[in-house]
Amino acid sequence: MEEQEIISKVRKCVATALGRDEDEVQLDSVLSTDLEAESIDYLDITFQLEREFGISIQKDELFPQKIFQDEALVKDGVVTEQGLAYLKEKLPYADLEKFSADPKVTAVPELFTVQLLVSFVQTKVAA
Amino acid sequence: MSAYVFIDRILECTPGERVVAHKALAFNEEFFRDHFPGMPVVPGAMILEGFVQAARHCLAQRDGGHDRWTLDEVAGMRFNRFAVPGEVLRLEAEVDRTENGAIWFKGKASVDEAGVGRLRFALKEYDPNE
Amino acid sequence: MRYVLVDRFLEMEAGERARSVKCVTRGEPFLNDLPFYPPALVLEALLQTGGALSRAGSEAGQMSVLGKVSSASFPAHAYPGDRIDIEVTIALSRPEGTLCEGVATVDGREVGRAEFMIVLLPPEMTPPPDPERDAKRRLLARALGLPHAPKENA
Repeated sequence: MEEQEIISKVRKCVATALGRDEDEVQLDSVLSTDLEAESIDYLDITFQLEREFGISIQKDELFPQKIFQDEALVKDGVVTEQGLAYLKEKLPYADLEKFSADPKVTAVPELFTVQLLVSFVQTKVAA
Repeated sequence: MSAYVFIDRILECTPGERVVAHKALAFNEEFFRDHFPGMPVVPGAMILEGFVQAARHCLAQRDGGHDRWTLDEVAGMRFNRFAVPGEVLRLEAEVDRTENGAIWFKGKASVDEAGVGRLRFALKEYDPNE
Repeated sequence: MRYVLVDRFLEMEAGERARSVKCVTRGEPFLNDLPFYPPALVLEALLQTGGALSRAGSEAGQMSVLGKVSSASFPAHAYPGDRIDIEVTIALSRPEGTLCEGVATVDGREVGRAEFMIVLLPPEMTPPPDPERDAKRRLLARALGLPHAPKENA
């Protein structure tokens, strides 16, 4: 599948899940802040992507919940070395440089942009 | 005049435009016994019905008490936290647009400023002779 | 009013499809003063059917709650004396929840249609097991014609 087609379909999925117009969903849009996505929306986005691309997304494969729950990965609101390694493993295409400089767990949702979803889908459909 | 079983009080009403209502949540209410045993939470569909009743009131006020509206459609109704006995649920609905005779509202449910849920819904006139 | 808004399950294919019925009667307190059954409660019948269907395909004892109603429409109405026929299918399912599609009809006339998400709560979010309450829940399930979940102990 062509990259443009993937981008267009991912934007459609996110717009559908969040009840927004596609113009509001840009590649650099951050799901949590720009698009005000809430926890239920991440599940909806996962369903929309599965349905649109015919892919199967494992639990925690796209949105790794463990980072918020596991004590070894987060301490006092700061992501640990182990947590950073976990994020690098789960999100190999994410740019973690800026995040690593100040790895607050509350900043994790900001990593999730539409572009990240596009990169994820590209990896999945190529597999 | 309609009976507003799910609304306790209308706080604000701009006829045909906007309405804010309260519903106080009492442990004793029957539906809590089933929803759920050991964990009483307000069912989403009841919150929806509360919005419908408040919105009907808003339109009826505009139409001199004449109320012939019913729920036609719902879009994007979601809840991010539970509303529970002991809380007072605030329902705020605002007219967004009219489309093919249906009036679309944007609704926000909250408890003490904390958001409970959001939705969009449309009311349409029903034929009393149907 | 009590909140068991489905009367009977006619078919339950765990994790796939369920059919149920809801009878509309003046023997029940109506929620408002309209001559027909409140559409919001037609939606609830669809949600309760989808919830039971989602639980049947999940780990025993998991609770289901409504996550989101993506869309719902109510093109016609159900009146006292009507039997609403409900069919819900699971479009997609994951450990966290399901995406369901449901239709409610009266004599083939569509009175409700919805696409919704059911969330399956993790154990830490649900009340601890309670033998008396769980026994009542099983009695209710049996009365509604729900089969024993194969993963559940009798």
